[in-house]
Amino acid sequence: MDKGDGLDRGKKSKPSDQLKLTEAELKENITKVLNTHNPHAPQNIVRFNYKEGVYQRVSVDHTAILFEMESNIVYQDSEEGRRLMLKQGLIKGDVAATPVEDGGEVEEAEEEDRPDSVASKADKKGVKLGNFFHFTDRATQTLNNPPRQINCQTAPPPRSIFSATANQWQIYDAYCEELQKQEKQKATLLKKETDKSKKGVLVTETQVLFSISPLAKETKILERMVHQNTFDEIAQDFKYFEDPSDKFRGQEGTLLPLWTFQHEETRGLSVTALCWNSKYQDLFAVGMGSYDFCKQGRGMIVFYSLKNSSFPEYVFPTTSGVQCLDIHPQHFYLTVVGFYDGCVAVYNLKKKSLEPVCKGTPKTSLLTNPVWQVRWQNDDIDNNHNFFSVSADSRVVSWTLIKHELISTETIRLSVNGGLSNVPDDEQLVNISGGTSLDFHKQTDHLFLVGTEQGKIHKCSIHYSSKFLKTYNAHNSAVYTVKWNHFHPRVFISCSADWTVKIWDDTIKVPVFTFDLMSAIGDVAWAPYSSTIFAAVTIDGIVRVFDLSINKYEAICQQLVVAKKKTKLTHIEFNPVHPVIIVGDDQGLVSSFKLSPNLRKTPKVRKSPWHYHV
Amino acid sequence: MVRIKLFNRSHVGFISVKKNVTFVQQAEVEDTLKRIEAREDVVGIIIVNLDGVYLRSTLDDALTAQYTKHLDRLTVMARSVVRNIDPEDDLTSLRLRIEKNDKHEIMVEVQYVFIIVRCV
Repeated sequence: MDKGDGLDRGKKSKPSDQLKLTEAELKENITKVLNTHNPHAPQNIVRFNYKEGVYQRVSVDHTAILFEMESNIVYQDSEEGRRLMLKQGLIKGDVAATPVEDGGEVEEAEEEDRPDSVASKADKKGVKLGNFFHFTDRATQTLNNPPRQINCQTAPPPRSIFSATANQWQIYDAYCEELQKQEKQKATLLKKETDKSKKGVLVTETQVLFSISPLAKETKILERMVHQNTFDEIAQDFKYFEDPSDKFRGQEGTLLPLWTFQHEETRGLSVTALCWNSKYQDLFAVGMGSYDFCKQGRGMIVFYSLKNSSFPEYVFPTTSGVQCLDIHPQHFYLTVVGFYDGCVAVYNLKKKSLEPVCKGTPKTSLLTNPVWQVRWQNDDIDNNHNFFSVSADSRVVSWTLIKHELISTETIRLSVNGGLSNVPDDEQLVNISGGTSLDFHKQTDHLFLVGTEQGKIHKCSIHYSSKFLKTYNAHNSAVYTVKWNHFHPRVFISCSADWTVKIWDDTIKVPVFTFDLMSAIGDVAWAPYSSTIFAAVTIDGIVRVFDLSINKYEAICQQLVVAKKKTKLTHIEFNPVHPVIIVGDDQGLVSSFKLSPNLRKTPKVRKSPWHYHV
Repeated sequence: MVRIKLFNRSHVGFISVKKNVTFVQQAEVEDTLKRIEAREDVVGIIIVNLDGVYLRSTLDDALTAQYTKHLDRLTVMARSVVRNIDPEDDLTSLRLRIEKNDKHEIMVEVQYVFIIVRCV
């Protein structure tokens, strides 16, 4: 208690509630004892002792810790303290050396750090002086585990490089495959039971290591390609050439020679029939035989295509000469052929055999009567194919093809007097006249014309088998060809061995036009694009084309078409689509010609008594 | 200059070829091939299967190998072009013409890859 602390202690003040005591009481000495009893500690704590099963008094610790602090002060007289001081060099003496810990090392290191530490000074002087603080630094370091690397490598997954392109068509193909798979699945679901009964199909391979038969189509196309290159000019002419000189030639026209068709095996045979195919307009059939009565032998049916003139598409050899030929207008693969020995046969192009589908012989097969003309007719009610034939035994026979068999029914018998069926057989022999040609009306199916050896033309109908509808005394000798006009329903043309070509209106008994060609005529044909144009071939090798709308008396084209003078032209046919005609001759050669523009004029539609159907 | 013609399936021939293998067809094909080769303009014929291995050839080996290798790749490209334009279509034949000095024409049918080398 300092006196100069600045507080004013001069006056003494008494609080009002101070205890007032007498002087005697004030002088009384009261002893106060300090003991280590904790006055706050409870003295009556009891705990149940489970071991003895009684409540026992628990003595409470009377020590109360007021302040606790951990320090690193070491009592200097203890073992540890002495040890430390020894280390520091503060005392000398033999203290039991204990294994040095890392901390000791650190201390030494630290000591060295302080070059001017008291310890070093003490060593020099011999007396160790302590610094202000006994500074010991103890550090410990945990054991550092040596680091180790453990790697693990799995086997790399197999890799491959994939590349593809995704084109339009690849996408399309993928979709198609998917579709097929789905369809197959559906099919297998439906047919699970029946599949077990089927056996595997054996594919019989030929003995050749690699068979090239599937290449048939490709070889064909290639042959045509090569052929086209060889005959390139002709192909170009066929398609594009229009003779410009026709403008200067007035009404006349010319025939431009195109390909010629010849086959080695047809030597000695002459062309006896020509027919274009209605569906494939570049395909035509040629019947080979002989017109010579003495030289009758084998025959042939050859199919050519305009695309390949060096080799035929189909060749069918026959035992007897072919006289006539017709290709079915709807079923283009069926061809009916009439032979010199009186047989008829139907060939099917779709089948790969050289034999006809069926062959029919006439009922009276004692006489060999050549079949001069065959014509297809529409299928009958049962969808059987049906054709008519006319032969030298003066019968017009209708044949029906029923399941590979030909059944014949006689339609009409040709006789001089007009087709009576009540006449007994003997007399009929005298009166019969062989039929030489046949043609069905283009619009009215049941009407047909028959030309005879006597020179008469009969108009008949399928429905009337006993009578002719009309007879025309057409020619003086055999009628070779009769043909209805493609457009006009009443006009037909006929040509005969009396060297004339006549045009008729079927209501008039007298021919409308007569053309005398000065030479034996082989064949005559109407043009399919005009009702007034027709062409005739003669044995002197000349093709004559007439157009009645231009010139009624003369041909607008007369052209020698064969090289050798002795060749006789036997048949002519117009192509249904292209402006091309084919001409057959007796050497077996078929030549094709392109009609020049003057020959191709279609007639204008005029209002006249003759109704033109265009 | 080289001119190339591509033909697609719109040109259909009229003969339907049956898939059965018969001797008759084999003979016909052989005949046709002989006829093609007998023509004076045709230099040679090579028949190659779809893998590019040549089956038959009338030219010598080295030339055939060359032709096969190059034309195979060309037909693949040509087919890709045709099908890209219309996926339902397919290449049927290919015609190459070289016109300058050595007038040559090569015709390739692509079903079984035919090659005919022809000199004009």
